[in-house]
Amino acid sequence: MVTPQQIGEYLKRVPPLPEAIGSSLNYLAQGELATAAKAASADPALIHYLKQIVNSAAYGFKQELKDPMQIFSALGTQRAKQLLYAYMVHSVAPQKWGYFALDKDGFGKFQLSFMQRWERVVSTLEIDEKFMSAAAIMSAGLIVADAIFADRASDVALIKGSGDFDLDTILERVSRLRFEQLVATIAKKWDVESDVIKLVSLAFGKEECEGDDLCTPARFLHLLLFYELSRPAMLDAGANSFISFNPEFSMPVLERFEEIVGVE
Amino acid sequence: MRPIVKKQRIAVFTPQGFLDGSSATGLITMQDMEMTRSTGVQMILVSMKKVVFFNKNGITILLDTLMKLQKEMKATIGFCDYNRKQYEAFFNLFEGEIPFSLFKTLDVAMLFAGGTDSKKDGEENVLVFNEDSTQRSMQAIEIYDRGYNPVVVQTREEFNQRAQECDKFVEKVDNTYLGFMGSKIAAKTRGNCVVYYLKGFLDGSVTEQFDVMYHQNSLKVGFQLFMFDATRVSSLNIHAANFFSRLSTAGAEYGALIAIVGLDMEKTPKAFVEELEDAGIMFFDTETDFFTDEIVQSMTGGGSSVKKERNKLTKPVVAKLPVFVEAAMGTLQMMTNMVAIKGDMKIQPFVAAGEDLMASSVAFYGDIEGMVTLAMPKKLVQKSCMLLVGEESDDDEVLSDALSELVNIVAGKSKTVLQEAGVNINITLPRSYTSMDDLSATLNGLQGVQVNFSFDQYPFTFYLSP
Repeated sequence: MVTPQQIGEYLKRVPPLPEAIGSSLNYLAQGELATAAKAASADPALIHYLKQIVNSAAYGFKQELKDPMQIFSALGTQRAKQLLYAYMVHSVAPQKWGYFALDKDGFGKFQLSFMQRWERVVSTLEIDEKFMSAAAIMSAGLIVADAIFADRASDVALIKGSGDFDLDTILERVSRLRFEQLVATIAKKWDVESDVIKLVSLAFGKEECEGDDLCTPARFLHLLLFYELSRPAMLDAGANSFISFNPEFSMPVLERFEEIVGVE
Repeated sequence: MRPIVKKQRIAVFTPQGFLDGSSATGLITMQDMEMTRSTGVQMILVSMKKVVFFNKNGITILLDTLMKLQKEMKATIGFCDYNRKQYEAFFNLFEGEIPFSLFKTLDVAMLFAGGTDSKKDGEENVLVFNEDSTQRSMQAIEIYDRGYNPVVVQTREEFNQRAQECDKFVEKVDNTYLGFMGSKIAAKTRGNCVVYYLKGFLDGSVTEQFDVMYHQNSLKVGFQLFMFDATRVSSLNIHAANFFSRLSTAGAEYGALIAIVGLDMEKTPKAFVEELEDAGIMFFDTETDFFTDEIVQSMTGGGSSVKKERNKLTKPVVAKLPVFVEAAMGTLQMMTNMVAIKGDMKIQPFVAAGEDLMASSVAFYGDIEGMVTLAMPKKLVQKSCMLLVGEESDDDEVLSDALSELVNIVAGKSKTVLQEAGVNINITLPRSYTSMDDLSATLNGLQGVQVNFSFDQYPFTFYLSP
C-alpha cells in the first residue's frame, strides 16, 4: 500500500527552513526580537501570513499590527517562534487536500484553535514557554497523513470499513512507521529543539510516559488534539481517526483539562 | 463519520475524544444516515471505547439522530464499549429513564443482534447479571430467544466468581441495559446450517420480523440447510404457514432444505403441516433428530440438489472477470506489499492449488450474479491479514474472520469499479472455509473461471463461479 521508500521520498521533498525564518528563529532564541523581525521581513509571504493571523479576532489586539517589528513585539519571543513554525507547517500544507476533506482555510482554523488552546494550557500550568511551539509542530501530522494517503483514499476507506482503524495504525502495519516519527523527522529538519520534538512524540500517546518530566504536558497535548479533532469541522473532514486516541493516557489530566479549556 | 457494519447486523460509529453538544452535531451527518439506512442493520450503536468525555447535551443530540433511524428502520439503538463509570453516567444523566440500550461490548451487542456463529456444538451458555431484577429477566429471555442458554446469577460477587470459568460461557453479560429491542427473528450459523429462532404465536407479522436479506444472502453464498427452531412456538396461522411455504419454494432453485424443529404438532392444524410438507419443508422433533437425519447429513457442505439457475456463468459476468481479478490482485498486493505473478486461467470446476489452504467466498447479485472465492495457504492468509489483525496470528478463527474481511474488501473494490461502469451489484456476507472439501462440496462441481497466481512462493487462487 505504501512503502517506507515512498515515505522517505515524501520526507525528502519537505523543504528545510528558508534562510529568513532560520535567522529569525536564531535571533528569537537569543531574545533579540527586533533583529528577528528584521530577518523575517526578508520573506514577504511570511509577513503576510503573520499579519493575517495576529490581526484576526482570535488574537484580539486592539490596534491593527502592520509592520514586522510591531508584530514581533506584540507576540513576544515564544509566540513569535510558535507562529514561525505554524507558518512552516502552513506552507507545506497542500493546496488541494486529497484524503481529509479540508482546505488551507479549514486547516488554518484548526491549527490556530489548537495553538491558542495549547497556549492557555501552557500558561495555566506554567509549563516552560518554549513548549508553546509543540501544537504547531504536531499539526503537521495531518499534512503528512494527507500526503501519504491522498492517492489511496478508496483503499483506506475499504480497510476502515472492516474495523475501526486509524490512519496511524494502517501506516504502522504497512510500513512499520508511525506519524510521530515522521513529524519528528520534519521537526528535526526545521531545527526544532529536541525536547519540543520529544514532547510532540510523547503526545501521540503511543507509549506510557510516567516518570518523564514531559509526561504531564504530553497528556494535555494528546487530549487537546482530540478535543480539536472532535469539533464538527474536523469530524466532517474525516480527521477524527487520524491517530488512535488513548483514553488511559489522558485520563490523569482530564479533570484539569476540562477546567482549563472550559469543557462542560 | 461512516459507521462500520459488523456482520450486516450492527452499524457502529466509533468517535474518538469528546462527545459534547458541539461535536455531536457533526458525528452523524445526513450522508451517514443515508448510508446507515442502506445497510438495513438491526442495531445502530455508538462505541464509547475511545470517548473520554460526554455530556447530556452531546448524548441528547446524538439520540435525536439515532431515534430517527430507529423509527425508520425499527432498529435497536444505543451505546457500547463503555466502562463502568460511563455506564453509571448514562443512568445519572437520564435519571434512570434511559430511552436506548447499553451493551458492555460489541460482542455482547452481537449476541442480542442475533448474527453470531456458533462457537461450539451443543448448548452455549451465557452468564447474565444485572442489579435490576426486571432487566435480569428480560436479558435472560432475549438471550434464550436467540438460541443460548442463559445462566442468571443474583449477585455481582457470584458473577465475578462464575466469570472465571471461561470455558463454560460463550459470553458474559453484565453492565448491560436493554431498551427498545427490534423484533427481528434471531439467526446464527452452526457449521453449514443457518438456524432461526422463532417464538410465540406465528402470524403474518413473521414476514416483517424475518430478515429476508440475510436469508437470501445465505442462499447466495452457498448455505443450503435452514433450520427453524420452533420449540418456543405456541402455534401458527395460515399466513405464517404460507410464508414458510413461499420461503421453501424460493429456496428450491438453490437446492435449499428448510426444516422446522420442535413445533407442537398437537396445536398445529394438520392441513398446515401437510401443505408445508408438500412445499418441501421437513419436520423434526428435536435438533438432534435434524442434525442426524440422513438427508440433512448428505447435504452438509453442498448438497446434491440440482441448482437450476446457478449452473452456468453468464456472458455479462465473464465480461467483468478482469474487474474482480484486478480487485483481488490489487487488494492482496496492497495488504502484503508483495507482487502478484499471474499464472494460468481455466474454465473448470474448482481445483485446490497448494496445501494447508483456507478460503472465503462472497456472492454478488444485482445487474450480474455470481460468487467469488479466494483460496490461499494459511501462511499467505497470515501475511495478507497482518494489516487487519495487527500481528501474524496462528488462530484459525481469527484468520478465518480476517480472510472474510479481505474478501469483503475485494468485493467492495469490485463493486465500486463496476458502479463507475454503470453495473450495480450488492454483496452478501462472506463465508469462510478451513476445509477445501467443504468448499468443493458447496461449489458442487460447477464450472467456473479459475485464475491461479503466486505471491512470492505462495499460490493463490481466484475462482469465479455461477
